[in-house]
Amino acid sequence: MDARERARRLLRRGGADDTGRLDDERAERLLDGTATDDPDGLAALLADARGPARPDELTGEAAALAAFRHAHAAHEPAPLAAGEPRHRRRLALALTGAAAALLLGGTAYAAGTGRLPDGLQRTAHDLLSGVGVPAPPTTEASGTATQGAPALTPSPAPRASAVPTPTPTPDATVLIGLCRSWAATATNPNAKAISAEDLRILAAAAGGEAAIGAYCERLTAGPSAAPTPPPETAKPGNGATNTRKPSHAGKPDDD
Amino acid sequence: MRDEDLSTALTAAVRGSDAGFTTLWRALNPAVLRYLRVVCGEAAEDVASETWLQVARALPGFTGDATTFRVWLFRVARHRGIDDGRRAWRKREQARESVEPVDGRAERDVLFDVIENSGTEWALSLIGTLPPDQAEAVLLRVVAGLDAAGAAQVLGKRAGAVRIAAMRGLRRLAAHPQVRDRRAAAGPPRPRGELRLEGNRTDGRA
Repeated sequence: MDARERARRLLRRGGADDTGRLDDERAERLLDGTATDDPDGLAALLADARGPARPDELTGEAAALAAFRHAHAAHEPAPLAAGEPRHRRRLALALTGAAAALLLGGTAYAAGTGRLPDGLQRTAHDLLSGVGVPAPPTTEASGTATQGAPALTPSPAPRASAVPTPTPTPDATVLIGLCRSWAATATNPNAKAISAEDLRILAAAAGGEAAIGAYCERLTAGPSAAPTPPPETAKPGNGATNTRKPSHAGKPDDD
Repeated sequence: MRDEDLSTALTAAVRGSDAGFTTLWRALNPAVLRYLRVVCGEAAEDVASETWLQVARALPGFTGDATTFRVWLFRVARHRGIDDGRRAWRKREQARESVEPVDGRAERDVLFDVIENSGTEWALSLIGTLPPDQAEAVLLRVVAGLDAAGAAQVLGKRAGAVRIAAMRGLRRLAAHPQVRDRRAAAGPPRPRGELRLEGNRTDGRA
């Protein structure tokens, strides 16, 4: 704390000393990494900042790659390098089935655990908008589940508040929902990414982020989504951070 | 990794090549993380994951060269980081104004105090002490490998503004006590007072 305050005070003085030599040209060279001299220690500092990747900076590759694969599998116009139309169709089918199943069991885990209502909303939303499956009429419950769930509001996707039904294994249902959310994230350009918390939970269940793909495949292969008790709605406060626009920065072709 | 090397991987990735995407990820994820640590602190890893998910999804439709991709990647990261870290960001701003540390940024202070750690972590933590606009400008130039124009695109500013912010950041860093200490200690042992600081006037440590 002393050190910090001392530093802060010194920082406030800005370039009072040592920096008379720092002109535009030198600054550019420093920033480009092409400075050949280092009178002020900046070149060394910046070289450190751009130092080689550390192991902890290279975790998560498998999850990113899985998302990439899903994205490409779902991207129709793109020529597939090692085209596997069957695989693609299987995925689409799986997702369609998942969507239908979700409508039945969607609220299961929200009710079951009460921990992740927000994720549920997104799961349903992502899944439906992702696969483009028209939502079966779920007139009954639509009021309850969407209320106070801002995550759903930015999208015109069909409401996914499901008909509440009883489930014996809420936890499994939660995970199945998360798996679908995870998959939808990868296949639908407009789907919101699975939240960090959901991802962590999923990773924990799968035994690591790298294992999520296989884990989810196993999990969703079986008969899915079971019914559950009363639909617990999302906590309003919780959803606030999830209302970000789907892709405000993500235009790929705005060069 | 240079843009020329990245562009091959990028082309492959857009076509759906795993290897291409992996190359992009390995080349750029560390930079994304380093940048995000300054933007959104401890949420960096989560935000980086989200960033790559978003990028992976949209990559099949990507058109542009490696530089464009870099700009896009960091812009996605930044927006996601700001969204996720809005609160932390604000806290940080407040922390700058006040003398008292604001909770939630404690981990940054810990890093800050690790004086003898003179590696990447040290450098990043020092850059992290800069005001956000300066830290971002420096990191986008140094770590993300963007030029002033590219960094400006990420930040939604003019290139001139980014240049000024980066320059101010560098000046602050040069005056930072830890940089001076290290300067004094670094390199081949030199007689005190005879550091390669010809223009040095008031460095009490030398």
